Formats: sequence, structure tokens, C-alpha cells
Amino acid sequence: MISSEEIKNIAKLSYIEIKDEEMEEMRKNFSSILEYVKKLQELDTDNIEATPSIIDLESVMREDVFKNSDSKLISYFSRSKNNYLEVKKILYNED
Amino acid sequence: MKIENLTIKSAHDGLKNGDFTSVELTNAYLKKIEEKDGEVKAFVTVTKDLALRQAKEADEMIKRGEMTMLTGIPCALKDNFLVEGEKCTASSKFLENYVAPYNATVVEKLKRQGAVFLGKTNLDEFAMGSSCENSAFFKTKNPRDLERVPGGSSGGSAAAVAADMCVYALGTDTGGSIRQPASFCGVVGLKPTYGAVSRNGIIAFASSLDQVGPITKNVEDAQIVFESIKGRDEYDSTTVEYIEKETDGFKIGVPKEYFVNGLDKEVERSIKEAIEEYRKMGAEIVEISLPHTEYALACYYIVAPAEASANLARFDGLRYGQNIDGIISNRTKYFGSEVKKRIMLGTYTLSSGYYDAFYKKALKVRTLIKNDFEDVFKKVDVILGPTSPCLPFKIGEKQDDPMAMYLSDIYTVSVNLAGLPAISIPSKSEGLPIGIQLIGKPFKEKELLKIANKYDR
Repeated sequence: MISSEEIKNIAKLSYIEIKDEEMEEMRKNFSSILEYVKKLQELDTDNIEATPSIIDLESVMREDVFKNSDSKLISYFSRSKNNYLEVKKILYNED
Repeated sequence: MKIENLTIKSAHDGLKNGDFTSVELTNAYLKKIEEKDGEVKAFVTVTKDLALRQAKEADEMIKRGEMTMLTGIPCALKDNFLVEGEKCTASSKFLENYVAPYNATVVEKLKRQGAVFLGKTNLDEFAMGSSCENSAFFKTKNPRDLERVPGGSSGGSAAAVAADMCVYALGTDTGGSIRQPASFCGVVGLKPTYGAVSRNGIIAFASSLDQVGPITKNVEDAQIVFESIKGRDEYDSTTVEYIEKETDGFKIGVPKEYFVNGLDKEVERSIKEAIEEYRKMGAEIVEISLPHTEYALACYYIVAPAEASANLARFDGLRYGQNIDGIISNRTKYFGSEVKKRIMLGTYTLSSGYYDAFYKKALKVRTLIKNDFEDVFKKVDVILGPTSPCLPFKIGEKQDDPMAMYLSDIYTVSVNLAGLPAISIPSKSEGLPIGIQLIGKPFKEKELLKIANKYDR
């Protein structure tokens, strides 16, 4: 079964916190799904191409011009300043 | 007025002949919702004011002779479709108070035709589930048996159609979320080909699988709605414009891998009866093989959570949605446990060290699944089988066992992985509803619907 440490690490990467009382349930469910999907290892796929999408997607380019200003969107921001989204500082000087 | 069993076609005729106005029709449905939805709980939000406003406009359009098949017809939308000025929650606490700032492309298309929006229907949170039990707000009941689930994730839409609380509804289908609830509620559900209908303005779950489609009373109605929502949209780069030629193919493939252990006996009997009925109608029935069927669900449960983990990264609470104290607190407090589990599963299979063994492997298996269908479609026009391996189950029955819940999607997920169109139509057997799934060739919805309609009639 997947360890609590591993679950904590995946949770951290997912920006989620798993509380102690949720841990056992999460370990159990997570493990049963991982066990099930391991079934794919039975198949030899060495010379098979991957299919990330059914349609061949091409990057869509557009002119870099300003279109659709919507002040409604800004009103949803938790904090804003001069029509910009204001967030906590995310880059710090390590010293 | 009597609204039971009204279809788009019959409601349209009534409006056209002046038997009733759209305002009268809309009021009749609003009354039905008031009477019935207390027990079924299909709607997260009833948009009464909007509906009556739209009905008035529709009546004006009809007077001016600007009528299409959908003008003045009351419908419901799954609560992951954005309708400007109305709440859009995805049945998540995260978006409990979120008001949509614009219309989804399909919503805009319906609006232009004078459609009437009665409300937003319940779903499993962010469309992750097969029973509507994962809604953060309440559980929707199956109108055919209130102790049972309506299926999911578009369970609210299917229940609303089945309980005559709207003429038709829209849903989304990532791994069966239109077809399985349609099957459980005894109505018709169409998942179009990947690329047929725009997803712009619909809350994304797994972008290489998500597709929008109708839930209706019959096949004819599914066709009407599909024709009016499909087409190229500059805001969804996967969409294409296409014209399908009329065909008369009537060769039906029946995959031997679909009739194995785990298939309910009653479902099996019912599907076999449908095959016999098709044979009597002159169809050529061919036994076929889709050898990678047993790997589809495992493939899906790597691909879908991986894409979900990326799509749901946008929910930080800073730009919209709930905000308490930073990204981690917001996500921890306002996401439900199934959503957290799938985000984490996706994060895990995409993380370094596991990417090749899980995610890359799944994409290769996806190719094998897609190739299975391509091979078979050289020989047959459609594929027939069950929509779900089981009958609608009791509320709570599978909630503690995620694998048992996931297995109810075993016949539907491969269709999304291969990007194909498929429809679930109700079988004619007595008892709890059973859905027959017909799978078509890519961009051949007309052919698929034509064959489906032969049984439906």
C-alpha cells in the first residue's frame, strides 16, 4: 500500500492538504486504483505510438491585439489593484 | 396543460399551431418542477426569471415567423455550462457563489434560437462520478425508483428529462456521463464525436475526452438538438465543420468482449432481445472482437485524472471562486474527496519517475483501443452492446467502493478514449431502465441516429 509520506508528497504537489483523519481512507482508495491500473503493464506497447488526443491539434495563433475587456472578470478577483490581480509574493530571496 | 411525454417535436407543433404559448408551456414546466423536484432533486438552480423572460421573447419570435425547432422549448442545462448572469457551481463548494460572466458557445447557440432555460441541473462534483452522489450539495434521485441513483455525472439532466421537468437537457460526457445516466433513467443520451460540439464556456474535466451532448425523450429529439449545437467554434480549437453524407448501412457489430463476467443477467437478456429485434428488421448482425476492451477502464483512470489535475489547477480561489486564506487552504476546504483523489492521482501519474510507467503507457494503450475500433469499423456500420453492466443501483450501494463505482463505466469509457459518437437508447424490457449503447464511426452521427431511431420508434 502507498505510504502516508508519499500521499503527503503528492498532496503537496497538488496544492491540497490531507488531514490525518483522511489519510487511511485516501491510502486505501489510492492504492486500490493504482493496483487496478497496473493491469496495463500486461500489454507490450514497445512499438506503439502514444495518442494524447484523437485529433491532430495545431497551435492556434492570433494577432497580439487587445480584445474583450471585461470588468466583470476583475470584480471576481479576491484582491485587485489597478485592474491587476493582487497576490501574495511568491518569489523570495532565500537569504 | 398536460406536459407529460412532450417531445421537442410535439411541443414545437403545439407552439406552431397556437395550441399554447411558450409562456404557458414554461409556466407548466416551472409548476412541474415545483411539485416534483422536492423529491427528485434534479435542479441546483431554477432560473425562473430568465426562463419567463426567454419565453416571452420566444413568443415574439414565433409571432414574427422566426421559429426554429427549439424556439420556445423549455430545457435544462447541466450546472457546468456557463449562462451569463446565472450561478454555475459544477456542484462544488468551490464555485457555490460563482456567477457566470459569459455564455458558453452552445448556450449562445440555443439562446439565438429562442430556447428557454428552466435551470441548472445537479452533477457529481466537476463531473467526477457515476451516480450524482458526489455532488457537494445533495443527491439526485432516479425518478423511476426514488431509492436508486440517476447515474452520473449528468444525473440531474437525465432525471429532469425522465421526470418531465423539461423537454430536453444538455449534459457533458467524459467517460459515459451522458449515456450512463440516460440509461439509468430510461431516456436517450447522445455523446457526439470528439470535435463535433464546442466546449467553450463549459467547466473542463479532461479535455481530450470531454464532449457535449443532448439528453432527450427520443432519438429524433437528440438529432434536433445535436444539429443545432454542433459545428466549428473559434473558441474551441478541437471543433470542426463537417457535412455527413446520407448512408443506408445496416450492419451491426456485437463485440464478444462485452458479454463477459460482471454483466448483469437481466441487462444481458435485454440487449440480446434488442439484437434479435434488429435482426428481424433486416440488420446484418456480425460478431466482432475489440480485444483491448478489458484495458479501457485502466487506461481511462490514468488519462482522465491526469488531464483533470492540470485543468483543475486553475481553481486557486484568487481569481474567482471561494477564497479564505491562500491556494492550499481554498482547495483543501472547498474540493470534495473524490475531486481531491483524482487530482492527486493525476499528479502522481504525471510526476517524474511515474510518467512513463503510467501516463505514457496509458496513451499507448489508448492507441490500441482506438485501432480496435478502426479495424472493426471496416466491417460494420455501428457497434451494439449494453450502456452499463448493471441496473441503476441503490443510493449508497457503491459509495464506499470506488472500484465498484468505476466499473459501471466499463462500456462507455473506451468510446471517449477513441473519440467516437455513441448513443444510449432505452430497451423495451419491463422493470428498471436498461440502456442499449450504439457506437458509430467518427463524424457519422446521422448514420448512428438513423439506426438508433429504427429501434426507438
